[in-house]
Amino acid sequence: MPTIIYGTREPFEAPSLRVDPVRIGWDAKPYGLCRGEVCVPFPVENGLIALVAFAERLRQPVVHEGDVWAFGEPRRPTSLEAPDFTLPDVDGREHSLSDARGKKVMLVTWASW
Amino acid sequence: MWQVLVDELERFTVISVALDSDREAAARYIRRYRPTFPALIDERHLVAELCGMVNVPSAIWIDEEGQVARPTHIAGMGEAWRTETDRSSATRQMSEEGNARMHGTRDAYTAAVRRWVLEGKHERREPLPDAGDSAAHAHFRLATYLHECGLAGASEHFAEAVRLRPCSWNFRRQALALEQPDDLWRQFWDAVDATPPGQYYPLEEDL
Repeated sequence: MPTIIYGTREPFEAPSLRVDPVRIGWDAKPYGLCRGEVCVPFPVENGLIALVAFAERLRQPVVHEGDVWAFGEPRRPTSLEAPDFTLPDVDGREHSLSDARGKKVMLVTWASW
Repeated sequence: MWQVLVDELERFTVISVALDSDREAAARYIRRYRPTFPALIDERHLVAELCGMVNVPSAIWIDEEGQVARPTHIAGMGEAWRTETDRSSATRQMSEEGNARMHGTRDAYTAAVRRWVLEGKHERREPLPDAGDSAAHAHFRLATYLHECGLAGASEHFAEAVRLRPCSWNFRRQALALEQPDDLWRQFWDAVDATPPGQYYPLEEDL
């Protein structure tokens, strides 16, 4: 059974590489798949999409080792807009960059290593 | 260390992101320092990919409307630490002079943050750099998961990530920390020594 690593989502298992698009953050609409205001024409069959073909459409790289599949982030258009993301704090509470709208933000990385 | 800026400045926050596949390793520091700003943990290094970051500490500045006010840059570090550090760890046992240079760089950076928040100076409104080959990040993410699960292939995918994005110290150091914790510092310093000046952190005179 394939394990799918998609962005920061917890890796999940699926019976095959045909998955419900909701699992990767896309909604099925009659005219294709939508995430927010962005829609991509793409076939949805019995509520499932072919993940690798969809990744090719979005020009996302796909790599795998055996049954573990990892998908790169879709390429973003060049923009001055800071990319939004959601990550947990030490207590597991989720924060998004956009929660800080209205303040100036210094986003800074560090690591224990 | 960013807490002082958050305490002092209004309508401003820091969001810190630990690029740490070992969640607990990052959590230990956060529990010790208890910052009042959001201190997030990014096990799969997503922010590094989104912002085209290759080393820590890297930062971007974002204005009130969510626009990039200063694109990706190293946050207040220069190369002074390279020549004078005790090589058994990353803790910086430095000469007085080296220490002074490092603190000077750090202070100049926090002063720049202040002037940005208070006066709008030091803005450089440019898009973020390209994350490079995002296949590198896919290989890296796959490798961290394989490592976590004890599955075969982790080393090969780490190596592929580094090959595709050789400038990423994030990849190299995270892979070393996970795979060779006992030999971490020797390998790290060997790699740093093989790196030309100005290519780990920027040279002080270029800051």
